[in-house]
Amino acid sequence: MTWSENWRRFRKNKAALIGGLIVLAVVITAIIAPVISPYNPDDVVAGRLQPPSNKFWFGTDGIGRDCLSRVVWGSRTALMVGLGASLISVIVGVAFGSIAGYYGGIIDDAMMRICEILLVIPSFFLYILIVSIFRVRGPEYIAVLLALTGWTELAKIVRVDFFSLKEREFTKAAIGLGASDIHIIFRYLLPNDLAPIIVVATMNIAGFIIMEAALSFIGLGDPTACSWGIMLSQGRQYIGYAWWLATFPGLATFITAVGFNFLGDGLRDSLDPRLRGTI
Amino acid sequence: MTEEGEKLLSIKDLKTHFFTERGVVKAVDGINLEIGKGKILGLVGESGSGKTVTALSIVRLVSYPGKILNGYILFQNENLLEKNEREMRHIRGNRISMIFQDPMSCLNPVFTVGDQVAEAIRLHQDIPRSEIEQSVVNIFEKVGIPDAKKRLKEHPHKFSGGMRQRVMIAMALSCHPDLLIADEPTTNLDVTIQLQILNLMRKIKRDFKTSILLITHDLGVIAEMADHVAVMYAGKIMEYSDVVEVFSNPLHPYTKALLESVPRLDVETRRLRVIPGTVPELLNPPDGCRFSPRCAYTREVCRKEVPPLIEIKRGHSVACLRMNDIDTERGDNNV
Repeated sequence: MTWSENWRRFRKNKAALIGGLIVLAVVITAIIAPVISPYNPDDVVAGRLQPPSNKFWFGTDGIGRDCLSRVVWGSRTALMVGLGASLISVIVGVAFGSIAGYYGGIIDDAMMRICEILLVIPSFFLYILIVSIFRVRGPEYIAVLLALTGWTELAKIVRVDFFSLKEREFTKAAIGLGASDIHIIFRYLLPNDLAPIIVVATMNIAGFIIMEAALSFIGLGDPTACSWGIMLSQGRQYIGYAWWLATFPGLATFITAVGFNFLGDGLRDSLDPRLRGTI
Repeated sequence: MTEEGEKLLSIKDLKTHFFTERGVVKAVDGINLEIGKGKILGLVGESGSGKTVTALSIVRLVSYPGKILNGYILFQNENLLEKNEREMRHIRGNRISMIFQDPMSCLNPVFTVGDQVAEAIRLHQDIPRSEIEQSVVNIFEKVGIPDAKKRLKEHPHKFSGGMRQRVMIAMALSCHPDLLIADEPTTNLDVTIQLQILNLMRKIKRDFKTSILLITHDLGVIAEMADHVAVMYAGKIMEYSDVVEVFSNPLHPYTKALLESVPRLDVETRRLRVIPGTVPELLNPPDGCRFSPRCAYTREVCRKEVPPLIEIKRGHSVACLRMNDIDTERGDNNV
């Protein structure tokens, strides 16, 4: 169960490696977007609806902006929403699940009911409701919104894992040595539950990126933002004669989501002891 | 129940019951025990006789639905049952330490063993970071882990069972506790390692003047190690005495039966004796003497009256109504 052993296992897994490389490529693209994008994504650089050519690889959109530049810059939005929402949901979900799982009893009961209330509300309608009531549209708001309902799965996972981890002998031994609650949670329970948390958080990123695209597509995003979902929705009206408008941002979304899913799967195979059959 | 020397721990009339859905399980039902300073008390009994619950009661770690109902536990003249959780936390690991049965699963797999021992020290002592490693090395050397400096940087999975038990003992001893509770410390180890661990515990007792509550079902271990022995059965103490007395002159029929069921090389017997039946279910303990359904000497009175633990001679107590008769009478229910 060492990290070098996990890395070796991970390297052997082809899909995981491909996923990792895709994610790496997307991250690098997002970081160096100003350097690699040929034009400013918001500038009108040519006539409208130019098909892909040597000058404009992905063509131009309805008002004459370069699609390639917009797809490149869109990776920033996608990653920000995906990573941001995942980070928030990890913090909230792990904190929530830890408290419920460690203390159990009435505390656990109350907290799980809160979880379930969130789970039974169709999240899409909740998003639409919140966006239309509060008129918040930027990608950062979407990240918070997605995390708002996305943390429940993590909370449930952490909670059940804590139930079993706190009964393990090493935890009991630590309590016998006079360790405090906080100490037990941070030194004994969480570190032993890191693998599933990492796996679920990675898989969630893919889901959040797709959700962001979907929300933007139905018009809940910021129409001026450079986002794949927005590009998709704006390209929809031209789909009959300007195929490139929706195709490239769609592909970008798809490839990124597949990358995070492969990565998550690979991490699960190499990290999660329950699927490996040994501990 | 008196003994010479100063007492470190005395338990009076301790009752720990478990309130389950099916009823009340009287796991520990009014026991008295004493441990002298620097002595080893062996607590023997079959599985399910309440040995571990007794140990957990001392450190107040009986988990739900268990509850300590009655009695007091005097440790260095303080009643542990009156302490709050914070005070108990300070006592655990610091003044009373526990080591457990299964060393394979008692260490946190994600940290190095050195980290874990250092942590046990830091929990109770204010030692500067720079000196901690040295004190960990010192403890490792004391418990006989070779190449301590290198090994403390390794994770538990690189250690064998015996070595892990040494690490556990190192953690338990890191704060020089006055009492070490060892719950079947050698049960899961093979015999040669068992012997090493037992020798180590004897050395600890000698060097640190640590008292040890040694819980086991292995009478051989008791004979090797203990100064005094308490025989426990179904939540009650059946016999209590110093170790020589128990092995040479057992008075309770249960103790006798236990001793007869141990294979011996020096006495020629055809078959080992077994005690018929099993430990009673503590949801519904038998009336009267709890051993009466399995005892070879049971009479009507045994099924009605609960025998008190009576000191028959200095330092030797027995809880049997018929112990004066059974020397002259052979057991007739036994095969």
